[in-house]
Amino acid sequence: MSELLRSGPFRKILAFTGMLVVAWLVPRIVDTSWLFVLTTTLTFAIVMAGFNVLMVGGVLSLGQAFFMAVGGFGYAVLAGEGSGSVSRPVLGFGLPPFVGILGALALCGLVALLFSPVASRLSGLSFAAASLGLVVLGQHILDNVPEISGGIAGVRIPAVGGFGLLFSNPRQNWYLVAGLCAVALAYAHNIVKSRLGLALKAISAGPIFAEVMGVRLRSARRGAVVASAVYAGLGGILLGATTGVLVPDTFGFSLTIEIAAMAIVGGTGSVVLGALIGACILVLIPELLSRYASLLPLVSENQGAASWMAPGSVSAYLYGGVIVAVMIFHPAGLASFLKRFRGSSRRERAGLGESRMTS
Amino acid sequence: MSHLIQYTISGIALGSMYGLIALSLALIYKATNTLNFAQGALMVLGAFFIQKISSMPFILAFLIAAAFMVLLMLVIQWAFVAPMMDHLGLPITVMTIGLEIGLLEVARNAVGDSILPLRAPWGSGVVDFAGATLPIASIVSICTALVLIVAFGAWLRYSKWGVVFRSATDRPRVAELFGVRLKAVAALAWAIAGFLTLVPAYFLSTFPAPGVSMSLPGIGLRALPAIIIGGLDSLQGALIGGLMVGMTETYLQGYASDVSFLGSNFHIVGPYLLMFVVLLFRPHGLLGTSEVSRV
Repeated sequence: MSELLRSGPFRKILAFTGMLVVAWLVPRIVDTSWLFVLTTTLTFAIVMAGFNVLMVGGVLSLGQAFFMAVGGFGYAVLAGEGSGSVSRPVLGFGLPPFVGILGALALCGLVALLFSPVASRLSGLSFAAASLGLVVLGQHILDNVPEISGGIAGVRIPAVGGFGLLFSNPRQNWYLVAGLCAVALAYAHNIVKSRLGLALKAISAGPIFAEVMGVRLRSARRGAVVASAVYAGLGGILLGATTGVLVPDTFGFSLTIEIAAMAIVGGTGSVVLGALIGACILVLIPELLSRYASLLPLVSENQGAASWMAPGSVSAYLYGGVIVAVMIFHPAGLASFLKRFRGSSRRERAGLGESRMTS
Repeated sequence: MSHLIQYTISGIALGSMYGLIALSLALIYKATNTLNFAQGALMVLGAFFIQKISSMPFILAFLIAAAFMVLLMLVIQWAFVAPMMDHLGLPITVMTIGLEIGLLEVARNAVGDSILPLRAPWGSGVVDFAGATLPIASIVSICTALVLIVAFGAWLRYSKWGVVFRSATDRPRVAELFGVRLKAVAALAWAIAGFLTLVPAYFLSTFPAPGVSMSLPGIGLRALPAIIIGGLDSLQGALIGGLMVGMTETYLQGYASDVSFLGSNFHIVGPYLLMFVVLLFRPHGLLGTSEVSRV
């Protein structure tokens, strides 16, 4: 019996059933505002999974926010009705939401392909700077084309649906995001285990070594860039579907940096667990502090004499502090820390600390 | 024509400041293989500090601020970078992102939403040169950058510590065998970078800029395409990249009405597009070396 319990397929079925139960239970336990927080967390987990796929190849991307914007606003244009903006008319083709999602994801892949002549030549920190350039470019386009971005006030995002289903209320949206997140993370796991993943690992270990082994450097990198762009795009669409409105300023410098930092704090060596942990920290620290910071000593909403810091400051310090502390004490990220506790799968610990950066 | 001269010289002035920022980034990159994302926050803190003590005589205030910046960088190096010397590269880079978030919040609490006025001893006067109107501050900034670069180049080339620095960044393992302490070299690089950060921070917060404000980190960020254009591991490249970025920005801003079809504020995007073009043809930047890694 104990052998059956420990066998691979059984554990997989158990884990799958467990996830289904949790996903079913969550909206019945937590209230709407917490459901919103958890939905956002899973959304960012998808984005970070895409980031991690790139990191497997030793490439640090600071362009995730740009591809989130491409996905989110692309979906708004394709599926929106045109009158759906907050303050001004925007473009909208009014396609069915399902077609809109596929179109927006294809758009992300296409933009990533256009970027790949630059991207596939770069690695490490050069890629980081180049992809940051995409974010600056994206902000410029959104600022100057209010027909897409809806200006400062942003644009309303139509509810996701298709095949007779419509995910319009928060609980339905949670099911949608949780389901897509599970599929996306599982698929990311498979990408890393696939031929492409092996090629990326070889590139990370040494580009020349990889080429000698027959890896086509640039096509492997191009594949990773496109995959991570599609993941970020899906994250952007779902973020829009969750919040209902997308504002151009969201997808700026700080978001893209925080996604990268928190994904690495989560641990890029394990694609799924690292993304989940990173997303939790990204969303939960500011959320918890904005709710409960006033309970801490020396913190107060109003700038009184007895208070030292505003809650926003505490959030920023804690945020920065977590990044610094994790990088100093455990540069491979929190996921590998947990794995060491469980003492399992030693193979997967070859994470960030060991990988060499070439640039 | 007079416009062209004016834009060119103010472009060089701005570019030399970007060049100094990029130089300090390149120094840190060479010594610790790290892209220092905390640069923007360090610039505001430096400018804020010198603004606080600006009632003192200029030379004294500047020296004290320089000492403060060097000390700050040494503390960062000692407390955060030195424990991580075994994980050169990405972990330290990510660590500096954490530093940036924290230090930026410190700066935001200090500076706030306001613009703190800062007045340079050379004032806000302008001179006429070949029909162009130029702020004296631009000329001072070009001269300062020139002096600093020549001094730094001479130090790197002729002084004992310069040789140590070059050997340690060129062949770290070999230098270590010859008795060079890599941690000391890293500390030195961060300290010099701290000083080099203060100068552009000062010039970018005095006339023609209105004063110390939280827009400084964003300006500092524009040195990022500069260092990539020049090549991450090249000190000369950083300066060339800085000049190219500064001039691109000034031309695009000056002739904004001619390029209005590209949208408003295109001068912010221009340097990044220039970077894309350079990377397309030279993936390691203009003067960067392609790293030969052993199989």
